[in-house]
Amino acid sequence: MNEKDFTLLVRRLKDRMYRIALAIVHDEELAEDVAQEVFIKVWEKKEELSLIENLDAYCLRMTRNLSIDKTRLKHYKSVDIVAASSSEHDSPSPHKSAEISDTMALVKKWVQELPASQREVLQLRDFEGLSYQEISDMLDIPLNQVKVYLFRARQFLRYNLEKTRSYGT
Amino acid sequence: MAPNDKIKDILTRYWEGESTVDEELLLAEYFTQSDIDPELLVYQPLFRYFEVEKDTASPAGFEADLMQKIAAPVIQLDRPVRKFNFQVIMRTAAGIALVIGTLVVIDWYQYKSKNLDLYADTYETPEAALAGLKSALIQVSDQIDGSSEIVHEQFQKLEDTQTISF
Repeated sequence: MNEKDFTLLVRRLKDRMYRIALAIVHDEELAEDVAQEVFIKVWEKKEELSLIENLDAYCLRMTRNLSIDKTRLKHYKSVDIVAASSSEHDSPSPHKSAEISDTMALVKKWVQELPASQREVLQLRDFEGLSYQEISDMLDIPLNQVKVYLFRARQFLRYNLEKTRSYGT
Repeated sequence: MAPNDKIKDILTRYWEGESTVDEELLLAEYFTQSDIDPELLVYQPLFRYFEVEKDTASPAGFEADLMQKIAAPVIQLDRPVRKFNFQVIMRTAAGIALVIGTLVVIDWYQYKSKNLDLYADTYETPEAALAGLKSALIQVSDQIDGSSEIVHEQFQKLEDTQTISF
């Protein structure tokens, strides 16, 4: 791999790797360090990369594993992502917007309450848009297990959303 | 199929985990707009939340910082070269030799003084020494004779005892 290919790889994966790391370590600086460390390791192994079938999946898996290692070493503060809610979307009325924001905070809480395996699969699918096969490769679990985890995670979120509506009306 | 019906159909499959990645992108797009079917409004925060998460990007300067780290030459600390310092070695050797020499001299003096003690207050001439030695040997011989007689007597008593018993 030459420097140009490496730059393209960094541009393609940096945000995704950062998000995966952030979801695990809950610390912005550490998530950045993790993503950079993974890229540096990849660069150091540039001669061997031709042997790797799916480089993107390899990088994401390294990011996940390194993030888990880092969290084992230390506990980190959580980052309130929902507080930084995007303003790019169509803006509903202030009242409605506040309501959506409140429920988004609840969604975040429910996602955090999911078992780690279900949360990881949900993140990789619904945040990162990975295919079932890519998730299976990355987490090293069977494809059917990916589907089961995702089904359970989504059902949990759906149940809570609908429960919130019935309480609200 | 009306647009809302299509979304409802995708959403149904979404909950079952049967929707495709492209269909899920359509869902995301639908829920970011303001004109949403009231029946589906309840699910909007979920997809809004996903979008917020997706928008989370690596910090500005990430790439530049990374490239700087990679471009920076690896500083490899040289191993300290061991220089052969003749003066230091000679001083050390001289010190060790001095200590050993001192110990040898002290030991020799001690040995000599002990030997002098051994010969102190003994005979003046070899003849006198021989006479003293003879006298000492005679005394030892007398002691041995005395002991032999005692032993002989004890054996005799033992034999007498055995005779009486049988």
